[in-house]
Amino acid sequence: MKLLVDNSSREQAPQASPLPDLASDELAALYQAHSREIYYLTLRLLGDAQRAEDATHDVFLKAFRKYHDFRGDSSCRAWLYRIAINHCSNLRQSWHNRHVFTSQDDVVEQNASPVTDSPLRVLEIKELGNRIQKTLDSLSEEYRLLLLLVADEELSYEEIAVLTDQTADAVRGKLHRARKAFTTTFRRGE
Amino acid sequence: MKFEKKFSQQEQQVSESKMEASQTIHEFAVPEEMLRFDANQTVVPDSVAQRLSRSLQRHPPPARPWWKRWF
Repeated sequence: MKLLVDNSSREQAPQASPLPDLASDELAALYQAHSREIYYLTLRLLGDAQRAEDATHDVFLKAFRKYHDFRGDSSCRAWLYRIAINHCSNLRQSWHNRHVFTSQDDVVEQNASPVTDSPLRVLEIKELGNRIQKTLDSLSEEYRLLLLLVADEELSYEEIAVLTDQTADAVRGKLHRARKAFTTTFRRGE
Repeated sequence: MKFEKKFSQQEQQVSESKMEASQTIHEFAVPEEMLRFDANQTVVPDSVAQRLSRSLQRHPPPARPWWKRWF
């Protein structure tokens, strides 16, 4: 299977701007290393750039305040994801934005063709974000979160399992169904 | 001579447009590859860092307890 990804864009991926006048270099480094991943997660979970901006600010502020309590049981990235997931979940509840997904995913899965047969094609990068957001919005919260976490190569299945309160085997099983659901919905938009 | 020049220009334009088209087609084997690619294109707005700095100046994070410096 062919994968045509413009790797140059990955190499030139924009870095987060450093925090000006931050009290500690340690905190500045924390922000520099993880802000893009946290911003991206909140952006795709909340589906709104302004909300994601607010959420990223709140997540890092919370993390900076609690940084000395961080015991290092997990990686820093996983710890920040935990704060971000909880924060977004609280926001979504308070906004009454929760959607109830019943059998929609099952229908999607029934109609799904094998994911490995043909890759997902994207013609225009500028449209990619919108289509990804629409596709993610159509999935259950659990599938959406799983896909977003798995997309971060720094996270292991075990860490994702802890973040989503399930076993690593359950993550693998659900991930397979989440991929199918995503692919089917994404292709409908083509 | 002129025709040759014009032809080569046209050829160049065609090859350039082909190259552009090939650069905008992306294939992803699994959704997370697409999401990873999308994440790499995402830029955190500068305003987040600026707001954080202001917030930390107003309410600085607590200092590390002295006993934690020993560990």
